[in-house]
Amino acid sequence: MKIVGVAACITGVAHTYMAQEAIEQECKKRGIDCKVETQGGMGIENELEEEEVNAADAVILAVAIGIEGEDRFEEKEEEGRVLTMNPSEVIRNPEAAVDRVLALVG
Amino acid sequence: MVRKELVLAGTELDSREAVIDYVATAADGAGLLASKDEFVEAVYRREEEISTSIGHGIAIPHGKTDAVKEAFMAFVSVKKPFCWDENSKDKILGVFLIGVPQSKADTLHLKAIAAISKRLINDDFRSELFACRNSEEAYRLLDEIDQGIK
Repeated sequence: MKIVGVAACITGVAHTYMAQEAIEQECKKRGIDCKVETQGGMGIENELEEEEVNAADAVILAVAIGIEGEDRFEEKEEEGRVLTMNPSEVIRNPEAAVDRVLALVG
Repeated sequence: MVRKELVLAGTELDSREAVIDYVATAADGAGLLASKDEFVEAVYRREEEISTSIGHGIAIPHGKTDAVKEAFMAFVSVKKPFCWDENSKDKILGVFLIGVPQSKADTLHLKAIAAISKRLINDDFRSELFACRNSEEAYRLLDEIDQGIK
């Protein structure tokens, strides 16, 4: 199982990075391979390569704003494998967020 | 980045307004703000978009405005938990108030803020933070993270 994601909040200061950490921690707990790109005040970090996106079983977008490179996820979107949530919700309940993204995989 | 005068553990403050005003006054006193009023306004504007309570007894209000001269992250913990805002029923024990300039990207400070924010996800870290008996202990705990990223 491999999950990729992007985290981006309005100000790009705190929530972006907390959402990244929340998803990564929750996936680690469950032994799921996971990589989360951040688009925040420090620019794009931990950027997802196209191959990484293609190889992923599902995508979680913890975003409150429009993001760079959203087209990378188009194919996954068509397959119904993209979950979009507000970063605040993800931080508050990472368990539920990961449950929901896993449900996309079936 | 974490300043001693902006780390206050075990205060008697009992509302969102009281905490924000208290910290903004302290940040202004430390020369970090060009305008306290503008900063406070930016914080409330952000709060209106979506509450910055993140659960687990913590809120991270923040203002991104050029009324902030130098990025900072202040920490206040309270003796008695209080309700953060009318929309969330969250009881708050600790508040991280963050100020960052709008137009100046201050990577080192942003890195420190991101590093501390990430730690807040961790249950053990929060317990450690709330167990701090005084401001000095809380400062040391936060400063450790700050030093770690440099």
